[in-house]
Amino acid sequence: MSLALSTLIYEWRRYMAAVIALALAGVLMLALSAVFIGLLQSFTATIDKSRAQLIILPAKASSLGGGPGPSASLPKRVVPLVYRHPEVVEVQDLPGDFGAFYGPGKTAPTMVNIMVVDTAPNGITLPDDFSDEMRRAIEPPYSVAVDKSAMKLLGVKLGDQATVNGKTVRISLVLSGYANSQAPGVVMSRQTQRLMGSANDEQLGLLMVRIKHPELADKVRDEINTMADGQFRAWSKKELSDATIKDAMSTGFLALILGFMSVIGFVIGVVITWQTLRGAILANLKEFASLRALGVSMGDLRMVVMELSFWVGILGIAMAAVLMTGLTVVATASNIPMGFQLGSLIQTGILLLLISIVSGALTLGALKKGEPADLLK
Amino acid sequence: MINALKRKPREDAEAAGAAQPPLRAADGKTYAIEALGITKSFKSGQVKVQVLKGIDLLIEPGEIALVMGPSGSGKSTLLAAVSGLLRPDDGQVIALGQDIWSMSKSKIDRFRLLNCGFIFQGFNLFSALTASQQVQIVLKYLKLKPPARKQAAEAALTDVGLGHRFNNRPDRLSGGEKQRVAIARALAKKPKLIFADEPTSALDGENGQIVMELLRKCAKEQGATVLCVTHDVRLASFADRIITIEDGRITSTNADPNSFAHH
Repeated sequence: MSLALSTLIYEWRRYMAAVIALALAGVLMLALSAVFIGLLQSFTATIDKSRAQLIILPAKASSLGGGPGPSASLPKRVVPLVYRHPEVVEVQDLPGDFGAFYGPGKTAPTMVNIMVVDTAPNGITLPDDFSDEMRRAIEPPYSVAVDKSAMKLLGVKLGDQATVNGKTVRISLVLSGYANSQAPGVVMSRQTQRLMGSANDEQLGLLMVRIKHPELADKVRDEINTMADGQFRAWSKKELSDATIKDAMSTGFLALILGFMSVIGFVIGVVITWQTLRGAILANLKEFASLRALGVSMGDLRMVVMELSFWVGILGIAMAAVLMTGLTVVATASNIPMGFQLGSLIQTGILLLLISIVSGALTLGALKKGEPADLLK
Repeated sequence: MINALKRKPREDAEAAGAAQPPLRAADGKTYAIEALGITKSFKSGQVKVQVLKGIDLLIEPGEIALVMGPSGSGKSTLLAAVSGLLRPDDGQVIALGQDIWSMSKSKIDRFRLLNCGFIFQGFNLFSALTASQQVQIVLKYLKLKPPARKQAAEAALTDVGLGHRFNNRPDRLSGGEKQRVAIARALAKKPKLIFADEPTSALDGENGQIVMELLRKCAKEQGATVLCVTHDVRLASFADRIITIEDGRITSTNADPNSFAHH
């Protein structure tokens, strides 16, 4: 085992401040984006969980809600155009809406996010975590489902009656995995939506497309886009999900806050890690100087310090992962869904490692304080 | 020997690394260390203090030379200058045939790595490492492979009587044992030159004797040259030669050991 790793393991208490600082910097950078991604994902849960492989959006949309604006929609005539591709077996729109929800005895409404699904067996927009029993539960007209996390807020329990946009509905199913901290989701069938009078069959928000061979999704998407000739655009599910999160995260105030948090996290991380490493090196200065006397070069000692800072970074990442997992469990239990993207996790990991490496580089100067001639007293 | 000596120029004085055979000086003798006209000053505030005032010194191969003198006489500075740790203001140091202060810093480091062992008053051991690891770490930089490192480290520790302490960290070792680990660390690479600065001053009499016996054994068995700076008059009996220094000048290069016995 190397000197750096042995020192880190044996004197772990000395390095704990740096490891905790790195972990907290990581949590600072990740937590806000995780909450925001979680929020976005809770609004798009029915898309992510649908049985479709492709999604059709207006041509200029850069993501869900991105591009030409929320009012952008697809004309109904797009549907037969999509069917022209021989791989396409089913095309359905995925309506969505907001509504005013009154629980029993409530006099003030709660804003809810209405999510519409197909209740036919294996329906294209039927979420893939819906069992046959769940599907049947919301099949009868005016039967709706709510997430268990929203029941207290909405003031309902299974079997209760409530009012959505002036129509009486019955809570016939309680879901889990559809938590939304901003606007509780109410899931209903397409038929219930029609009965409530909020369906718009002429202007469609987005289209869900099922194809014969799901493994060919990317190829079919490209071919449909060629056929579309600029009238609309097909997306794969993952592509759309990533683009939506990227769009939302990189625009305006949120990007500013995230950037600010990253800078603050970086600076705090560097300062604390640097000072901790510096203290540890100064405490071992005579030992390092004795190695210098024995002929170990300054370059080799610098490598020891850099290796030490690398391992501190790795430990910081591990602790950040543990803290973030704990925070996610607590947040989810408190009805705040959190979402993570592999890209931002890797980015945060690299940033933490960078913090520790920069701190190590800043610490190198401390080695110069240990001249071997000073040991001769 | 106090006087400056004429010596043959060495064409390969620049070459670092493995040392040349001891130099043959003008008088025909070979020396492990030749110091010629060494001066060194330090600034203390506005005052410049000259610590070494033109020192000439010749140490023969395999010799155990003790440098003794009062505090502030310049003995540790002399040790630093001849061992390649502290550049003198003036003068020349030829160690194992190489003019060390004409070499680059990295070549001096390399020279020390290959040829010099140091033992200090403090033990300077890493608290995280076991006795075996303390010794191995230096051997690692000599590019020894791990099994060879371990073997050499354990052999060195056994030589200093710590065959049962391979896996003990410093907090489990007595002061004498720590110094013996430091000696094993210095000797494991089989140095040709051993520099010791007050190696016994942190030890009791018994451990001091053990340390000096080890240094003597090493000098005799490995043919290493030992230059030891000390206050400890009890060490006089271990030396081949005693050099005394006072006020930055050598006052005797072969003092009588018996004259220290009553101090």
